[in-house]
Amino acid sequence: MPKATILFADNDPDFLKTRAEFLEQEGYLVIPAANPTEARRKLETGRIDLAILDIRLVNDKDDHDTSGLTLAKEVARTVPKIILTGFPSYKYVREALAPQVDGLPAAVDFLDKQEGPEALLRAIQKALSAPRVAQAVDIAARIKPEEGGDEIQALGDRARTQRKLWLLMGAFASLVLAAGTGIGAVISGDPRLLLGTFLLAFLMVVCIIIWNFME
Amino acid sequence: MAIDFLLISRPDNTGWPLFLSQALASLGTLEVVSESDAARRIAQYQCKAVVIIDAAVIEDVLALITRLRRQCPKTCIVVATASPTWQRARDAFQAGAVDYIRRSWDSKELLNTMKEILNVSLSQEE
Repeated sequence: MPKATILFADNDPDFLKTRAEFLEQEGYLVIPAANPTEARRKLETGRIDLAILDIRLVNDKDDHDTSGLTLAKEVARTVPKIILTGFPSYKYVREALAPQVDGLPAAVDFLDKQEGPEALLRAIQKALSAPRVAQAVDIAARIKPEEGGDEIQALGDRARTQRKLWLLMGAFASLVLAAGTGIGAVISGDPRLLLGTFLLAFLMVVCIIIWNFME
Repeated sequence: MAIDFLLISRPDNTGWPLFLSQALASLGTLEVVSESDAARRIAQYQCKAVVIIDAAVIEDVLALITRLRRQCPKTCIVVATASPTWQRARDAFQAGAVDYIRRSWDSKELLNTMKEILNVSLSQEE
């Protein structure tokens, strides 16, 4: 039985093969991915204990290619990830290791490919043994009520406003669709359209209720 | 509402600390403390100040982060350095810093960076 299942995403097939063989010898099950699409699909559907992601998963010569970092930020947030790159920079480290809005960093570790397989192995062992706990920073408690802090309040309100906007758009879309299916149900007399109308109306009500609670 | 910022630097270092203080004025007030006095001042702020470590004047940044993290597990610790490297950035994050920033002389850049850091922290509170 393998120690853990590791997704290894790298667009360099030779590097991927070499490292996968090394990790398999160390007792891990390695699932390879050669591009961001494949890595995303496997991360979303597979039972992955840890992901190792190259930063430039599309084109090594393109310094705007940060597809590996994007994956780390967007997909399977609870799966610990190690960023492995041939082009390390402190800006990439910031993107990888600074906490995101959910309190978790995009990755738990950052390695230069030149650090070698043993460093990778140590990083894997460390990542798999560490609890993935959000680093809660008690910022609200450090705010003191005084005059002239509108900008801080605005920062806090922005995320809530965005979520409320999405809910409102959802309610509106449900209303439009419910009206459409309702008219269709009346004209055709199809009970399935009627059921659809009720479901959409229900969805609209749910959106409005949630929106209301966020006030 | 305003934020208390504590910059751990040399108190006689008036250049960048003064600039930082002015850059962050719209967010709150900044106090400069020495490394030896940092623990006491942070305790007086009940661990609620945002701590910025001026890496240019601190001998062992990682040891300082570790000490502060032990004293205040949830305090927001930011490292500012004139010469950022990816290895030192990684070490700082792993020691417990929430960000590692360039010791910029661009007030807009400093303000935006600090807003981003606070924005992330505020989102976690919601």
